Amino acid sequence: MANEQLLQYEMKKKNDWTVWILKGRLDRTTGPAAGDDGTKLLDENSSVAVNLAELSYISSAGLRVILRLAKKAKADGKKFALCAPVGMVKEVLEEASMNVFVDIFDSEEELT
Amino acid sequence: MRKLNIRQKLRLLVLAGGLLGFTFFGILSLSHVWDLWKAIDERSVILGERFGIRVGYFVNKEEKDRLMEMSRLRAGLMAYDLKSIQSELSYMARKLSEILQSPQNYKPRVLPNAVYENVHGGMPYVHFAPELVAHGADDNLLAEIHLVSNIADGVASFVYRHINYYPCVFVGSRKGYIIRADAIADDKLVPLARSAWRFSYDPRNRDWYIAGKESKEPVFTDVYYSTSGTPCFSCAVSYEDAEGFAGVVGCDINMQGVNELLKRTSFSDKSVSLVLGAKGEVLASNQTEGLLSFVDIYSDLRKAKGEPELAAIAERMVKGEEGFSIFKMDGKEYCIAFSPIEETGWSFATLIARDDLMRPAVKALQKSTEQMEKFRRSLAMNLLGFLVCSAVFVGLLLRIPYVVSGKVAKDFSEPITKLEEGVQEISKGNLEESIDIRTGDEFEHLAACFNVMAHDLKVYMENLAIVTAEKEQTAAELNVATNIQHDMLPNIFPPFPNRHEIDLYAVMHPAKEVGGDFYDFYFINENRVVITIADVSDKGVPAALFMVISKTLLKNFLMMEKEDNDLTRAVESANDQLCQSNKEDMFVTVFTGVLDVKTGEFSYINAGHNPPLVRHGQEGFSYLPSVKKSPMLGVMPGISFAKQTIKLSPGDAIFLYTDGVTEAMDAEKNMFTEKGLKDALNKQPPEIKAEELIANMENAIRRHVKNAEQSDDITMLTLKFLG
Repeated sequence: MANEQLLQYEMKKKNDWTVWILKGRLDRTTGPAAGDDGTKLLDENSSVAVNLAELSYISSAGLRVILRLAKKAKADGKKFALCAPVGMVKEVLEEASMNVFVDIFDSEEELT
Repeated sequence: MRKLNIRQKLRLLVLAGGLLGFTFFGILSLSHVWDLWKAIDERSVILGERFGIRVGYFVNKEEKDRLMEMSRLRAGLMAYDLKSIQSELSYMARKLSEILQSPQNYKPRVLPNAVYENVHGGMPYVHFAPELVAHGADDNLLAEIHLVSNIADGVASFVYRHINYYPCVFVGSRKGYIIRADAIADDKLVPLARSAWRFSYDPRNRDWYIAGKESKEPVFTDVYYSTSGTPCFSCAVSYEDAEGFAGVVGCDINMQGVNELLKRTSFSDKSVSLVLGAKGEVLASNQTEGLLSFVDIYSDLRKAKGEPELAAIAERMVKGEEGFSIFKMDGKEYCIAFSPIEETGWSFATLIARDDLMRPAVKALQKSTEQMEKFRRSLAMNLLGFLVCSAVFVGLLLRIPYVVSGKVAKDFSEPITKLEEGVQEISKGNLEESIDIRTGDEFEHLAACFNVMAHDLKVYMENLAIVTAEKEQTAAELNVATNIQHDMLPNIFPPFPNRHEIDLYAVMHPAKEVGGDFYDFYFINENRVVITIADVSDKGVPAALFMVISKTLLKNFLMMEKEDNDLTRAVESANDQLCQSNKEDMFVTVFTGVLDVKTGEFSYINAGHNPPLVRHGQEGFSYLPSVKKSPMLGVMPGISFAKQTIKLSPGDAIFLYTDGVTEAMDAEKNMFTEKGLKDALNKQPPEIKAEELIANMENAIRRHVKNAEQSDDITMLTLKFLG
């Protein structure tokens, strides 16, 4: 991946959830690849949570990726959620009222 | 025979041997040189051809993409215009059903009747079918008519807003009355008050009524000739009362409106744009004569005489295909790109003569051929020089035969071999190849010439895109999407020279790629002015289209609320409609507010947009309270939006912006930030004019980003309430 330094992933399991940890920036540069990878994750797992604790920046292109995945999850009958947003990312999600479209948990602990 | 001594013999032997060797070597060299000449000569022809093919391919692809993009964009724009007509009619149908089913909420209203009065343009009116005139309307029916007349303002606002597009809007009841507004001058009788229709018109016989009766979704009719003889078509949908089907609401759409759109999006006088109807007829065109112009609505391009290729393309267009084709018409070659307009079954096409298209490429090819010629001339001169030199050299060598050695032979042939290899590489299309010969003689010069040629060819290839773009008329069309984005925004300032209650200014600087920012402002009635700023979540042509539809929908729905002033309902309707036509999963963040210039009351909805700033009196700017946040538009239908209200006093100002401002980055990727914006705003004195404030903010952003390239649209709008 060309943008490895801008956005990095880590994976883990938590209860029944596949937790996808995003580190770095989710924007126009990193968004398309992240969208593809997220789609794959949703194809292979029934519950995907995106951990945003180490995401430092999200742009509208990033929001679009999240919305796409949320829509896909809904269409496929899968669970999709965001968790642990902080700082600027938390503000942006709130500003955009993203909770209308996707479940947002304050921490990973709330994933049950 | 004189006896030779051994020395002489030896010298003779050496000389003879040398001569023999030199002759042999000379012939070898000459044949080498000859081969090289032939090779270069042949290959330069091949290279020229290959280069030509590559240029042709490149230009074709580039032009194909561009033409396709153009046709898609324009077909999309047209489709969106049609969709917005559909959504406005749906809205009216819903409103009519609501009026009929909740009569207690509405006051009766009396409109002039075109049967009994000389109704003139400029006002909505009612008309009775002959049957109603004969039997008279009973009290119940009159009450219903007075009730339904509440739609009059909606009907009138609809028609006067789009005066070119809709000559009239009408509500035809199953009971035989019609409520209608016509876009005609104030001093002219409306059509239904003229003798031709006054006592004979019955809405229930009309094509639009029959088409709309069958459909709960707005449908488009075929194109027909209107009563005034101009081609037009209708859009119609049914509405209901407590008993079910109650009537049809519809509008006539003048083809002139479609023509206007063609003109508006046409940036080159060399390209032809046309709309083909569902029956193969040219409905609108920027041509005034010939096959591709509008003749009448019964002509059929699929049956074009003597132009079978054009007819075949028309066939594909009518079938609703999207495509690109090169075809011959009237002996000339044309490129055509076409896209369907699904709503009506029409097709949009844009075409251009191939010669016009290829001119930049032909020029580039000519230049490269010239370059090649120059190289060949220089090669010939050098080879000639080489022959002369080698003759002298051989003569010299004959006098000092012992110098002859393998090294000389090698020195001699090596550069030629190198050159030959170089030429072969290049003729394979490898323009990176350069020849390294450092003999300090003609060979080095030759190699240098060769390298220059190779380099020039490479530069030509690389710059071809730019060459193509910079040349001729094509440049303007490349920017069509940017132009549309720009032209869509109101950009005459001051916008309301007669309104002294407000001072308003706005700018939008698009980034390199077409973006989706927009701003908008308009009075919806005497006292209420709307300001809007929005940002579509993507770039490129789809975003530009989404922007157009978002802006149109918001404005249309807000205009319909001019009486009720229901900002929330307008935004919710726009959101529902946007979700319907959003195949690309885009969304738009919107901040829209209505200022009452009499009271200073400012109501707004912030749908996922950056919070604007407000300044009260002498205080500093602060971010507008957004306690009730709303999500962006276009994601999910049926969601609700929250309105907030603040009070502005004379002298107060509001500053709206998009994230291109706060996220404007310098070369080190440092953003301008919310704080930077607020600080810069607070350096401005409270009495500053809107235009000056925006100019100062532009400067502040410029000082921050310095030389870095602009990555996102930068949009700002400021409104000062003067009271």
